[in-house]
Amino acid sequence: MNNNFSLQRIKYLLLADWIENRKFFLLGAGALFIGLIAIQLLLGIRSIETQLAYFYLGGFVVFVYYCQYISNKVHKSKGLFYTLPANNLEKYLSFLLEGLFFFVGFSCVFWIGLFMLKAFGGSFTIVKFSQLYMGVSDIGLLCLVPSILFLSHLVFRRYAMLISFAGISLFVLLVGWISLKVLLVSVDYWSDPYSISNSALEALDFLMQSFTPALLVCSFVVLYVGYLKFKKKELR
Amino acid sequence: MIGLTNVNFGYQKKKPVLRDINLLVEPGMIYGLLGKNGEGKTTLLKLMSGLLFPDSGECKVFGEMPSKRTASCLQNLFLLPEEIVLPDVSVGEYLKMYAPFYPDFDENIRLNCIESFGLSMSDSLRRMSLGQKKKVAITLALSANTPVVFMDEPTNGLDIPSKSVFRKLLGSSIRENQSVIISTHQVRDLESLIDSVIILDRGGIVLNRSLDEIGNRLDFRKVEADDTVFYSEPSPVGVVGAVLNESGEKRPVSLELLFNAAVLPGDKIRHLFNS
Repeated sequence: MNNNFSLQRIKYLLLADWIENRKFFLLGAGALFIGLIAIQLLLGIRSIETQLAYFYLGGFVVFVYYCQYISNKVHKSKGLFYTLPANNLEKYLSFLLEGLFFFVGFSCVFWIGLFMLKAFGGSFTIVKFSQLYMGVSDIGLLCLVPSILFLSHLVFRRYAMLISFAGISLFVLLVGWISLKVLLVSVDYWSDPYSISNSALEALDFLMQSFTPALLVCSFVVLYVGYLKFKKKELR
Repeated sequence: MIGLTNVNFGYQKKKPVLRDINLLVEPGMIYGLLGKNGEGKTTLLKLMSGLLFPDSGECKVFGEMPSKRTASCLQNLFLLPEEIVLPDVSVGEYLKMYAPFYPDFDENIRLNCIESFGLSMSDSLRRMSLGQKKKVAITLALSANTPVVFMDEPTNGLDIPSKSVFRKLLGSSIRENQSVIISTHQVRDLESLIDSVIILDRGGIVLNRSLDEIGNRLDFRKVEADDTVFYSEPSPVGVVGAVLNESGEKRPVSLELLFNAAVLPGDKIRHLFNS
């Protein structure tokens, strides 16, 4: 077996997790499906926007469950996971891949559920996968917020959700403060509301255009910090 | 094989648990790691298996630092912790989950352990008692067939017949170049197996010697008037203790008496073996 980076070991890690948790995953998928049926019966699924709202809500719940799952592996494994013969990078990548599988699994259950509901008499147009980002104002934020939640659960044994929401709130406040500062510089309310300096406008325009790429870069940085934290994790 | 040089560790900054630990673990030996509660036996095992990082000093396993937790280093060791956490799967599935990680996983040892412990591959781990779970964990530990095995209180939870089975399995499964370090309070369970003993006391190693060396220097018997006594205690047969072996013949070692002698203030035992 190659002692450097090994895809085979990642496969073994994923397989071990599947063997250990497949009952919970299948039960969870069943619960999601039943939830979808209950929603159709009680509230009704009609518009695309409603379906998207349920997708985001369900996706958030699944993501929180995924973060808790990772937290249990990292904080409550009593040593066997850390001493499994795989590199830190392989173990970390297996975490991220499992997150992807969670998302794919949830999406499959969601769409299969919608198709089955429609087949059994539902009168609605099924939302397309490409419409997923309709309600999302910024993809950068969509990447950064889950990254912060993930990092928080990796680092903190307790109160991870609380700490991550505090961190996200702080970030939003910081961005809001910077935006307000730039806005106040670019528009002079007290003299002439129509007097806007070109350089300030350019700065504002640059910030708005860079916002999404900056957030995407931040997301990768957060994930990298997560890797470094995982490498340094001790079982005290 | 395993070398610790001037290793210091503490869970809190001003309260070191292990101080200036220097240790060399040779291949082909079964070490008994003894110490009072809270002396750092489990901590030492965790340092050697990469679960904890030394505050200072160096710890190496086959030339690599276990704190880096590389696959090549971790393939050389297996830690059987005192507290066993097993997933909700069958015995067969549990072994199937982890066997692929160990290139030298031995099917014969696995079969031997399953049969000797009276386990079934289809048994559910969730429905097992602590002792049964321990047997499954021991099965994986021995079958992984790693060059180094760390065991923290392996006989905890095992019934009397199972302790005997464990001793036989350990004796028959361990290869010539394998090393095992067993941390235990149950010295009588493992007296017949241990080749070498490491005793921790007051944050350091007070004794690290093979039983042959100890048996050549010390005798453990009823104390007589002209003996050079290192330790004595009353017993139903009279006063027994650890005395200087002046006969020139190797004597059987009583780990209990040895331990009590080693942890006495005054470090007589340490000075005897360092002189």
